[in-house]
Amino acid sequence: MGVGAPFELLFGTSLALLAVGLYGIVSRRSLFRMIISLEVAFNAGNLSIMSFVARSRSLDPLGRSAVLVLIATEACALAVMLAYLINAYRTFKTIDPSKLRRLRW
Amino acid sequence: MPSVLAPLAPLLASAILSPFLSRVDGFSRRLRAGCLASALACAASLALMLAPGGLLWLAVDGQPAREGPWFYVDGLSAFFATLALTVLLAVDLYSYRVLRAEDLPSAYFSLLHLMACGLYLIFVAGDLVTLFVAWELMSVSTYALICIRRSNDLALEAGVKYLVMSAVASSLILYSISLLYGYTGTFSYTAIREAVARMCDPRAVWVAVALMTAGFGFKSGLVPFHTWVPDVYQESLDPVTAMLSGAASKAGIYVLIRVYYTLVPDPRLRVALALLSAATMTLGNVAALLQSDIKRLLSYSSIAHMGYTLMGVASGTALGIVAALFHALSHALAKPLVFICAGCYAQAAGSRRLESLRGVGRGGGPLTLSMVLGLLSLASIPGLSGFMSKYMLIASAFQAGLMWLALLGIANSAVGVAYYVRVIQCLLSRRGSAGAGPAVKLPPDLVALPLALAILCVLFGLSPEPLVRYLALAAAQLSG
Repeated sequence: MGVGAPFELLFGTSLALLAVGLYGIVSRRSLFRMIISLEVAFNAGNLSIMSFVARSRSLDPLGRSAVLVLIATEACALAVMLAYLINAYRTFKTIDPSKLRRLRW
Repeated sequence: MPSVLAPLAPLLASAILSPFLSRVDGFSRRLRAGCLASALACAASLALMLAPGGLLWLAVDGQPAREGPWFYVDGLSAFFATLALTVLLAVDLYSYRVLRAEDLPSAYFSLLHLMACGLYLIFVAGDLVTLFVAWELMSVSTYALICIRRSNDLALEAGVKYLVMSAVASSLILYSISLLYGYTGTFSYTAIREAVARMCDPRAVWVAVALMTAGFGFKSGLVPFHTWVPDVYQESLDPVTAMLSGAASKAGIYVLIRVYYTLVPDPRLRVALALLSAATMTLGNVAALLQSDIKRLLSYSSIAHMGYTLMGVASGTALGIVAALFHALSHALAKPLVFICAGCYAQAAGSRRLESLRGVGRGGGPLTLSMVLGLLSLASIPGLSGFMSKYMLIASAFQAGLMWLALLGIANSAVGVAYYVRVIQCLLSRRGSAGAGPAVKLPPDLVALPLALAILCVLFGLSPEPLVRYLALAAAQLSG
């Protein structure tokens, strides 16, 4: 196996990244930081796939190509999120989502 | 025999080409060309589904599911894809009326058809990565469609909420996909199914299934992940709302059926679905009672109907699947219908509040008739398709021994009747501000659209046998 890091370390890191990302989304009061946390949570999934790839003896090419496709997909979603961020800032003059409270019940 | 990709081609072509129509001179000519091109492309896809040998006939011909390197098509996928295309056709035609009132970016039809491409790919995907990419294609087009009207601040606010929640859900789904890959070493549905069946302790997979349920539950608006639904449905354009509640919410149901019946067919897991179903229908109905905005009321009713549909999925019997598919169909016919009509009334009255809609339906002729039929079908009044499907749902819950769920479903239906009748009463009321005003008149070619949907509601309510027989074949294919 041509892998540097052991599976447990990689998978543990991916779990930690997921936790950090989800915590960031819940706790931050800025849309920008929320988007960064979202990216961290996304990459937790990618790292987790890669950790399983590293565990397999053949370094499964399917898993590796899937990660590339997933990264590209997330980049598209990220572009739209940033467009929303700019639009929200121009319209509301704030990027604090807790200040957007006109729609309730 | 048309291939799996054939119905996708017209949709994709129209999505890519329709922005070029902005070069046509004159607003109304441009609009007519765009609307016509989109509707024709959608009709072509539908024709390819329905043509002899098309995907819709897979279940009837008794063929096994068609599998390929990335797709997996059986009766279930074909049924949902046809449903989504039908809703898209209605939405394309109705968009003409909405777009005539305001000049929207020429990307409108393009985004709508990209969303439909995403939906189609979700229904035919055969592995989890394709499913995820298709789901993101649908979501990203939806993000853009929600706030396509730049003047509407509230739509932007709803869009921000939807964006954040939907992205969290995507990351949960991605993580659950990675876990399933870790347990089974593959992404394809059939290989995962075989690997899970071989496992001596399948409980490890349950974590992945739980994450996936939460993720897709977020996206399809199940309680407790529903908070974005009323905001987004209320503030989007009427055709976009019709598409979201008529077609996109069905994608969540489809994926849950796939996960709980094709990937991990474990009866013990379906208790979670029963709980989600109970919470979703109860909260949706109770919250709908309190609304004064007609679109918000109808969005809470959409949430409630997601709960009813899940009841059939949770029961785990063949009857339950048939009932869930039938209910998805009756909801996909009636909900776009009432959203379209509500949009017309709101435009005539200048407000979406129920008080200002008093009497606006009087003298509306065919429009009011179809609105009333749609609302009664949602309220499951006998003779309409909503009644037959909900009757089967409750029967399936009884059959599966989920007595409490069936009784809760009956109680919820009674609550539902209360607010649907309130809307009808408002529209037909003699007293009221709008009572003296002019009744809503649609151009005669557009009146045909709500009428056609209403006729379908009546048709499937009066003679459901052929449809039920077809759905039974699809359900048999799923478990076999």
